[in-house]
Amino acid sequence: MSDAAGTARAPVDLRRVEDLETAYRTHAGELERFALRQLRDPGAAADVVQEVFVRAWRHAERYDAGIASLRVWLFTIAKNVVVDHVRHARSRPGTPTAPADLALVVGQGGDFSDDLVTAWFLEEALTRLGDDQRSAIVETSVRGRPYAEVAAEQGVPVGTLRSRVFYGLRTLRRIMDDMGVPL
Amino acid sequence: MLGPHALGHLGDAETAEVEAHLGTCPSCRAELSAIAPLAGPLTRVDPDTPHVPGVAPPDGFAGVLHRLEREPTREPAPLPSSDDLAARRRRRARPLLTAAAAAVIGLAGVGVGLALAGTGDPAVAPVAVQALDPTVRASAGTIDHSWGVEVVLTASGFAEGQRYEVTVLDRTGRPVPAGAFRGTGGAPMVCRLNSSVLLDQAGGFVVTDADGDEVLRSSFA
Repeated sequence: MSDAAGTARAPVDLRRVEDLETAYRTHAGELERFALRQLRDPGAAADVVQEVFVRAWRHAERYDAGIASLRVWLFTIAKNVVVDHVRHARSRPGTPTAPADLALVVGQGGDFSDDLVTAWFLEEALTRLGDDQRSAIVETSVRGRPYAEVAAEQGVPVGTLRSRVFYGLRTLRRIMDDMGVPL
Repeated sequence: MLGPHALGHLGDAETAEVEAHLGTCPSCRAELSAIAPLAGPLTRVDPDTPHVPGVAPPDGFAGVLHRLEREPTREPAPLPSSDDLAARRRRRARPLLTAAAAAVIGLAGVGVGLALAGTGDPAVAPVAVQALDPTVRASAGTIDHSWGVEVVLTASGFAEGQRYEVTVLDRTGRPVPAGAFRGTGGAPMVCRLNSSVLLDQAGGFVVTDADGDEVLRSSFA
């Protein structure tokens, strides 16, 4: 297949304004909430969203639906834009940086900021779990509570709670794979 | 114990026990490698802020197109169904939207078409548009000025090179010229068109082609 044919058959071409606009209408709201959570600044979050779609247009040829969903790809761009924003803000004299922002850019490499995107999708994946598995994971892993305490609260043996954590994690992995989130 | 082990929740003794088993069990090693990457991101999860469906920021896409207008020279993407158009675009390789901006024709008198000049981002109120040509994709908004209404038209699909006129209609239906532009085919364009009709007296606008046929119509709420 030639490149031209490949382009012609591509379902999404973000160099086309209509495809870009469709992507915007579908994903901009969620991207703005993501940026707002990281930056806690509505104006900055709006700027991030705009920059995401400018970069998506600029690098449209890099989007490969076979590797990641459009949503995941846009979030990956958003993560980079957020990190750039924090770095830029820190470079301004007299601009205080929140500890969470510092963690984005100092000494954590790419893993921390990658985790922000993965965590965002994990929150959605958690809502698709059954109640038992979700609460097992949220209480022990997200809230960091002791297994014995959570097991007693839920009226099950610790072994059952551990089992729910395992099967919940396995289901989460499948959901994340279905969403096209790389891990 | 594999789940808690993946999350680092086991004590030393149980960890050693699990690791001893993993050394002899490829199946469990595979299970562990599948779930282990979830451990780090799970610590970043906010369990108390539910995800709600998002609404795209209003007028935000016009802002994106505004930004793209300032992009350095780069050819637009070829239309998937038109190799010929792609070839022509490659030969011309002109900046995205610059053609659209340059093609906006100023008219003497009350209506003056202005190329987008990047002079800030005043509040744009979205208005309904209906394209009568199925190839035209468009959205529009208005800006209320003391001297009249400004229409921000973002669109693609207007026939490349063809001249279009924009007319604002006042509440009585009286047409007032608001400028003209040339179509840019599949490439996105942003036009700002100014009219002496005050916003509260404006009922909408129409875009007509060189034959005077209506191509797009908008009604202001």
